Amino acid sequence: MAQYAILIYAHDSAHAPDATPDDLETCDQHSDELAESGSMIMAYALTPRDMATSVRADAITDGPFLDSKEVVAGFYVIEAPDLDAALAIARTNPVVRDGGGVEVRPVHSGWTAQQ
Amino acid sequence: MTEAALTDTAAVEAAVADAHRRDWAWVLAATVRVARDLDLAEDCVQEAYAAALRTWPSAGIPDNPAAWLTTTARRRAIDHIRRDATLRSRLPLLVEPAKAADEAAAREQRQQREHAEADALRAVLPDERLRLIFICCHPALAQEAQVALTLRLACGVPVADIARAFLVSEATMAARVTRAKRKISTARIPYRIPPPGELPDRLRSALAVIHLLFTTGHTAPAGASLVRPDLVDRAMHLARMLRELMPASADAHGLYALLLVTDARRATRVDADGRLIRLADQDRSRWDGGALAEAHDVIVGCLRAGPPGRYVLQAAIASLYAEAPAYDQTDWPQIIALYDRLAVVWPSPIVALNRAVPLAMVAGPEAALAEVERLERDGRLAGYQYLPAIKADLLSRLGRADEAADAYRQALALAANETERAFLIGQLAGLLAEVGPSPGGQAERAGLARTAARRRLVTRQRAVTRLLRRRRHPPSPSCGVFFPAEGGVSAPTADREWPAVRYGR
Repeated sequence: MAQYAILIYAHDSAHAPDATPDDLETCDQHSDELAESGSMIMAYALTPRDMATSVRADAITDGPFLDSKEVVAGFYVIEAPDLDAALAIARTNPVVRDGGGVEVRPVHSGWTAQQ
Repeated sequence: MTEAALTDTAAVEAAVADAHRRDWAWVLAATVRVARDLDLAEDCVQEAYAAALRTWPSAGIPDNPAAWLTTTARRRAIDHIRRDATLRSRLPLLVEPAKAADEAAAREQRQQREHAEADALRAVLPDERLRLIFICCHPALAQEAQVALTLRLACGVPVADIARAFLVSEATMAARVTRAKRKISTARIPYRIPPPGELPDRLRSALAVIHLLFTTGHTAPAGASLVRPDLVDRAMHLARMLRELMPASADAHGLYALLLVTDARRATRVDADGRLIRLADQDRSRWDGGALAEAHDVIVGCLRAGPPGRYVLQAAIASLYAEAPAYDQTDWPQIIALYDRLAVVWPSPIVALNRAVPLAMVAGPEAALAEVERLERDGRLAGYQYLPAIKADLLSRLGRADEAADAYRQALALAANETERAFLIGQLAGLLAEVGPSPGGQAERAGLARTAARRRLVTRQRAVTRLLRRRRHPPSPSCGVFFPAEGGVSAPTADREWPAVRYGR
């Protein structure tokens, strides 16, 4: 098995600070499915682009790092035997049918603090 | 050296070259199964071919060269893996050298055993070539990497030769191949035949690679000669292989038929001096009748099997063009009907553009021009040299010489193949002569000749880069059949109703 990070690209994140359960229903449902299947190791949903702050050597600016139509709305890490299997899982993300898309990246290494 | 020995060496070289062309993919695929690593397998297969050149002159050419090569390559792979494991465990095994007296007899015995083993292996091993093709054409790899990998792994073409075919430096091509292989191992692109659900998509990408390889060879993107026979032959070989391996895929048959028909005209596309000849002016008696007949049978078989896909329809169109006894006897209405079907399964502006050529024959150049201008406004074909070229031809037929000259200039600014450029320059020069002598025209004609010579030297590299980028447009569906230089329009005929789609002699 190998680990793949899946970055979610959407016009914006649905996870606004005041988002209602209704706003998050499709995301949560997909997340539950992946968790249940046992393929997902960790997942983070990010707040919308308005909350982003970018840091460069010469300046701190408001907004996402890249000024583009889509932003990274969240990311999660899955385990899969090969790229085809990872792509098959990634394709089930609802954002794919909703004008956005996902990027699949093999994980090199990682670390999280024990909580 | 005796004469017999000389003949032997030549015969061995021919046998090895033949086995390389025919069996490389098979040998490599069978070796990957043991090596479980593309690079290692590739090295071992390379070594096996080198070993064949060394040992066949004395040991004789085996009855089944592919099996011999496979055994040798697989054995090398196993040795390598063992050696690796041994090195890691730091427990070198000492092998006692065989006594000299026994050596000759032992060698003889070993050879016999190996021959028998090799033949048995070939019969037993499953055909793994499809896995090889599917991993080379995996959509997670950039298409230019897919093309390079397919040539390297499925055809065994050395990287230096691939670099030459695509007019990039060997270092660039080597980096491209290495990067693709690294992605295969890092991202774990699986070495397998895609499951039925994914197969249609994956097959499409494999067919696209073979088609691109063929179109690149059929009308070289840049450079002096129109055709690169080596690429065309590789593409034909791959198309034949894929068709044989996937007999249930109508598209695999369709692509094979399309390449057959298109390549059947290879001998007549340029004259003895390398100048482009229009389809209308080509000597049809010199077309490869055998290839055309074979393609016809394949097309009919596909059309009977079910609703035709993109390649089958393209093949049917190209075949109809080729089957007419003379250009002006082409069955234009049926060609248009086939284009209409094609536009449904493959809604590409290129299809609409190519349809303008038969449309001009049936509905007149004015109707065709309106269609081409609509496509021009659409914008998706910006940078596609055949659009202004077709437009120029139509305008010139309508007697609008000034506008036609402008369109030829646009086409010239985009075309990078010297043979096509020479043709366009000829057309433009003809138009300027027609328009009549003007101080500007005189200077432009002289300028055209100078430009042609200069560009040849300067822009080869740049043109290829641009073409590779421009390949975002699918390659021209007929590989040149529809290029107006070859399929130019002539007298309009009356408007009439098209019959339903049919195809036949």
